[in-house]
Amino acid sequence: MDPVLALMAGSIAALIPLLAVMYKGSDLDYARAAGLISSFAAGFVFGVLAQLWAQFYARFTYLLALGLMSASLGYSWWGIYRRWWVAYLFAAAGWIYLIVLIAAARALGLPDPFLI
Amino acid sequence: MDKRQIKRFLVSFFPFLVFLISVASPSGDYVFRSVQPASLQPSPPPYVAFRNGTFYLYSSPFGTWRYPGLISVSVNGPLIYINSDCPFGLPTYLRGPGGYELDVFVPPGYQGTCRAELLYGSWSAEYVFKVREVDWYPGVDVRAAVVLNGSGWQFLQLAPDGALYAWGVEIGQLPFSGCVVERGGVLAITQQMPYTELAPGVLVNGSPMWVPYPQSGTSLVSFLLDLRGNGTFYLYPAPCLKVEAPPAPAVDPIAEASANDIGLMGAPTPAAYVLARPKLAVAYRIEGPVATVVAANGSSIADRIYIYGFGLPVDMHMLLYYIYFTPTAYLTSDLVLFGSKPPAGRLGPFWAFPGNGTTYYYLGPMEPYLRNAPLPFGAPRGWAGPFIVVADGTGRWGGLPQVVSVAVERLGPWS
Amino acid sequence: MELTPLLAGLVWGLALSVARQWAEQKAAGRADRSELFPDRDVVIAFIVLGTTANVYSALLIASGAPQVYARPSALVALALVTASQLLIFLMALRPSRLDLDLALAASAPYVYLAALWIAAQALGAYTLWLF
Repeated sequence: MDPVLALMAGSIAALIPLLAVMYKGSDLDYARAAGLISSFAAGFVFGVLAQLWAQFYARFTYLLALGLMSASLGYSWWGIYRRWWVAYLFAAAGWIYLIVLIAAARALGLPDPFLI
Repeated sequence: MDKRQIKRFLVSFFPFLVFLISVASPSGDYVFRSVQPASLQPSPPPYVAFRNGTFYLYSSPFGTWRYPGLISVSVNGPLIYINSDCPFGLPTYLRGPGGYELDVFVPPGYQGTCRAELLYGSWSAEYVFKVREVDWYPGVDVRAAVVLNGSGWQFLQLAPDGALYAWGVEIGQLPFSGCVVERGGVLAITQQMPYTELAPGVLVNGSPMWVPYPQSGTSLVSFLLDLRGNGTFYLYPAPCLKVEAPPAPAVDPIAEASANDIGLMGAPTPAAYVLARPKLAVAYRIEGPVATVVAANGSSIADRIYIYGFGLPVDMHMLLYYIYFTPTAYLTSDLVLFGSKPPAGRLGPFWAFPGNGTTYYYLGPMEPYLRNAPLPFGAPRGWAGPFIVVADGTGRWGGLPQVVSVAVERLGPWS
Repeated sequence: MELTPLLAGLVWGLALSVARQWAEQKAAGRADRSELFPDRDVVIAFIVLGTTANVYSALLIASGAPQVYARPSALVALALVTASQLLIFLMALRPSRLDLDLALAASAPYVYLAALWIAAQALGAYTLWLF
């Protein structure tokens, strides 16, 4: 698992909406900035998960995590586009799901967080 | 379309050319980074000549000759194909990028010329292999040619430092040790006989007491040779071959010892003067195709004896024994180390005891047979040995062989 | 296609295009930017894709060291890629009306590589670096 690739994925996920906002000349206020941070984080986690495809592609929890991260990225972008910060709460759903999985795996003593 | 439109189209199109090149090339993005599909480095061993892209190899009648790492290939591109008509076990392709060492396995008895071609696209490199058969064991480039003179079957052993023993007696020194012996174009059966010191640290006649003992660290390479006058054998410093051969017949050292009164000694006891014979029991066996060893030991009031019977598949066998005499000092009139009657004569350093069909030859540091001596003499004390008895049922044995010459021969490249 | 050089070039290209937006904003102030810089959409696309292509080719060529550096054609390619990237820097940080022509000039390495590739395919060669 290469963290540099994940960092690049996160940067791309954040730079694309930033470019779009600046191209249109719109304001970059705090709501949009929070959206950029959220996009970066979603892109980074997606980059980490995507590199583990070969190990976990048959696990349902893994595929659900990938889907939720993509949805999280989409919601972040939508929040930037519409300046609607509630979208970021929807984006956090993916995070909460992953944190619950990792905590459950730690508590049960399992080697990886993708339970089934 | 005016110039501005054309410029706009070209400017948005040109960067894609790089990605198109990378996607559309047969070798992918290796077109950017590799100049040659592979670079080759032949590294022949010292007995293989390499000139003008041709390897001059040897093949052996005794087995497959392995040339490890003959050509080092470092593949820069995605793939290299190998096309060859050689029966050498070369792979048909090598995946890159990566480095490979090509091993060449020449089948036994193969002679001739063959080619191998490495290619990718329009790049190719060709190697020619010329193979000649030679009467040599594969994989080693040196051998010791030893000429012995003797008659009859000889039981030879080779120590790790190169010392050569015949029937347990050192007869010469070879420059190195090995486990492959060739005589007359045929490989002899060799057996690694494990040896250990009977009493560590104790020297008898200036040498430690080496006796066969299973699963020991030191091994002596043992083999049999039939000599009629001068005979040559070749020793190759190679590891032992696995042989499937029936084990040699065992000899019963206890029966031999009691039939020949080994260790019989007169000892004065308070009640009377007794003739003490050690009571022996078998301790262990070592089985093998060249020699089967039966080890026995036992004691009497006068001495303790450790005897090893070497049974051989030819009509001969050998006994090796060490005796520990009680340290108590006393006088005796009877001491027999071998023999139920006095010896008939000598053969070199050996005393000969003819029996029915089998002649026994005794070699030891003391006189073998002393019964009813006119004057009592002091009994020996402490360790004594080695006592070696060679039993010859063939009638052809002419004594220990002599080393006539030892020469080291090296295999050089041909042509 | 190697993922790491591709994504690295993409990140850098996006960053440079964001820098260009900032430079345009500074130059234009309250005025309309699409009047001041008429082809800014094509130039943005070129900055992103051109930087990706430059970084990608430069990293791939450098990964073939040292045999690749023995070929003058590879060194010429690297020089053109560097010059092209410098022009892209210029376009990103100093927007002007000549950006379309600058972009056309900065496409030189891609045309050069494509010409090499066509020649290599015609000759059946296994590498772009024919001389």
